[in-house]
Amino acid sequence: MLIIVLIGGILMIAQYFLNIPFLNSLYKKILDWSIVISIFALVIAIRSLLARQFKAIRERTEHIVLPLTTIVSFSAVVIIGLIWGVGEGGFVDTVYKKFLVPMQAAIFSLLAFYIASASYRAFRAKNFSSIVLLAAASIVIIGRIPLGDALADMTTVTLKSGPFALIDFPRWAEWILNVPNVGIKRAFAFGITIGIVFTSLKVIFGIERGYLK
Amino acid sequence: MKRAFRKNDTFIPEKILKAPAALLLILTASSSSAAEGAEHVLAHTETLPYFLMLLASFFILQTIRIKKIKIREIPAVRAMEEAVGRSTEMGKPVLFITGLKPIPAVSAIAAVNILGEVASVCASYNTPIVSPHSNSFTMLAAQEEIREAFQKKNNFELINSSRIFFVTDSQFPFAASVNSITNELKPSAIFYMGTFYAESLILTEYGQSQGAVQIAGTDSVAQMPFFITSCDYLLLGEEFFTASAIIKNDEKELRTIAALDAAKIVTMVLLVYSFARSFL
Amino acid sequence: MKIKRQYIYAVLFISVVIPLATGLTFKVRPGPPVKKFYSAVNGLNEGDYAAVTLSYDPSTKAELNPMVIALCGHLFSRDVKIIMMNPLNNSIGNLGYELITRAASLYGKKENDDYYFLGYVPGEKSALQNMGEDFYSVYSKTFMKAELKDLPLYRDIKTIADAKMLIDISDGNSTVDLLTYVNTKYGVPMAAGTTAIMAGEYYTYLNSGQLLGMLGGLRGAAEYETMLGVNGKGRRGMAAQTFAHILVLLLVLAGNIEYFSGRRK
Repeated sequence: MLIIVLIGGILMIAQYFLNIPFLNSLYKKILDWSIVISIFALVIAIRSLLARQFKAIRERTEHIVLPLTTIVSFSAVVIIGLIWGVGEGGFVDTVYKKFLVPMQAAIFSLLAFYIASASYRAFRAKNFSSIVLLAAASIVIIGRIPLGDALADMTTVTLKSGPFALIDFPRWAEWILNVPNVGIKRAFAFGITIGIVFTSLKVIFGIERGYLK
Repeated sequence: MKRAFRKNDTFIPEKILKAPAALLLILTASSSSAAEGAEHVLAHTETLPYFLMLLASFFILQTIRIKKIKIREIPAVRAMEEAVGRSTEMGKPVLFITGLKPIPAVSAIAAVNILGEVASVCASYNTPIVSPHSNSFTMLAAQEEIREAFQKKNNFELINSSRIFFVTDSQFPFAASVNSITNELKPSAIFYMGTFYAESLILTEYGQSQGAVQIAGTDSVAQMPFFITSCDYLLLGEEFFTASAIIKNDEKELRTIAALDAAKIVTMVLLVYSFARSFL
Repeated sequence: MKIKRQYIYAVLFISVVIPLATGLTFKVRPGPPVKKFYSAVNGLNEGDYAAVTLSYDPSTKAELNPMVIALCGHLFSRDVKIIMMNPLNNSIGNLGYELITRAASLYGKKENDDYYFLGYVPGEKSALQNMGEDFYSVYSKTFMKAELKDLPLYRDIKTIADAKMLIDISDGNSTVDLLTYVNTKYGVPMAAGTTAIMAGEYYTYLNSGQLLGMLGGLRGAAEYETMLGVNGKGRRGMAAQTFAHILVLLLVLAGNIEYFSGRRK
């Protein structure tokens, strides 16, 4: 197994740096295989999902309606999809658009509520660095809404070089996003990328074997 | 000092590792000039010397002997055992989430490694571990990792693979089901390890509201502010990839961390060099 | 005194719903990333092909659909032909098709002539790579199952490199994949539209010149609509965003007052 990983890993690195047609076509083949393998992941996933739901029903847990809903909706979508297809305007498409999409959007919208409660709880000016963070966050928050534009328009004075806004949150926000933000993001990107390369090397050279279990 | 590579401990013997290290150094030195003449065989020539430099630092630090590799203390790593201990005291399970990117993504491999270490602490404290997954391959790896950790501590009672299960691979339904599990189990420690997207705050704010100690580790830079806000500890950036090595305190693994630092120094020197060159 | 979570959620709900229900709008001033985006799209000529990839889940449509609608309008008004596809996300197909069809009907554009909707194909990164060599080895039919080799597209586009620009509208990391596999490898100029959360990440690529322009979040969509002179969902959403942001600032303030008064005791 380790030898397959070693050879496979070296070949895949080689195909990136070498213009050898055989390696390039091998790479594409392997990408195709990975799609095929991912289908098997689905089979295991369905088995795990259903087994857990049936177990909950057998044990008659407090919220028995939840596993029942999962099993019924899962079977209904699979059976109807197999018989009548999954095309535009069909039953599965309607379920997807009218139920799943709004429900997913609802969960996503919870983010706004959690941001509100997190900002109340966590943004405390405890020390110098948190004050800097708080100031930067406030500038970006105001800079990203029309209030910032209005403040800039109100405080614009005409200098020799042209109009200049004294309180210009959008421009300050842009600077924060463009300079300190980009600098920090790049530092993280370097660290994380080197971390990924080294973990991959550990896998290829057999130092890391946890995934093989 | 112990031999760096014991018999049966490593896949490639040390002597063989020395050869590519030396070869890579020569290649790195010559690659930038050689690449110009060989563009018909080589692709991505602009990144090749840098990649070879990374490889060289990896191999060199695997072969040279360093007396003692000292790793700075990372609060998140120290807090892991305390968090499990707290769960034990409160008689609650530990919840472990491995993120949305599946194995073979490197972040998922790192997450499963950390899971193994946390499971090992859980096994010694006799505390169950629950882990919902968004991918079945990661789930299988996690089941094995947990089983092995509990077997090693001779704790056979708590080995129950039905506690490590698949829920869904869709982002927000996954967040909803994890929150529902948090609500049901009321775990007193939650670990978030892996790649997360917009669901990160939905998970962690809810966990926080349930009073759990939360420890996260991620390679998603965009989500780090959310984790910092609502988690107690966070493994930042590459700390996430090295955490399991630090816990294991295994010399081979520690060498990789030293190599990572060497690669970062090389990168910094290159950045300063290219910055200075832009003025010439 | 501590404010209960429930009250915070209720006030936030009200401050978002009222501006949306009343249709209130505010003036927004376009910032540099959007101005760059606008002029990059304006640089396209009549008859050019622009590839638009939709790489987002329907759950983020509230933030990203306004961008797609405005972008389609902008491209159609300049008589640029659109190749829209979703090779990196398999769930946006039907919604994307609806969006472009609606935009096309406003400008009197014909499907499979002025615009093409190709949908999803499995393969992700390998599909992107193959598009650079032979576009039709990846896509052979449109989303509505029309054979591509019978369409004008077949004559004009051989590989993805024949498109004059690639615009990715995404809620995740797909823009980075497209930058790696399409922009760097085949030299197709790129611009992007993304959610507010991901926008911070993409400033790196905007700064390095890899992205010609960027629409960040609902604010980005509103700025773009302002430049185009349309009053779309982006601008209408800005009022709700304004009140929500002000509420967040007030909550931060309240949290700090509570913290300092607690410390003094």
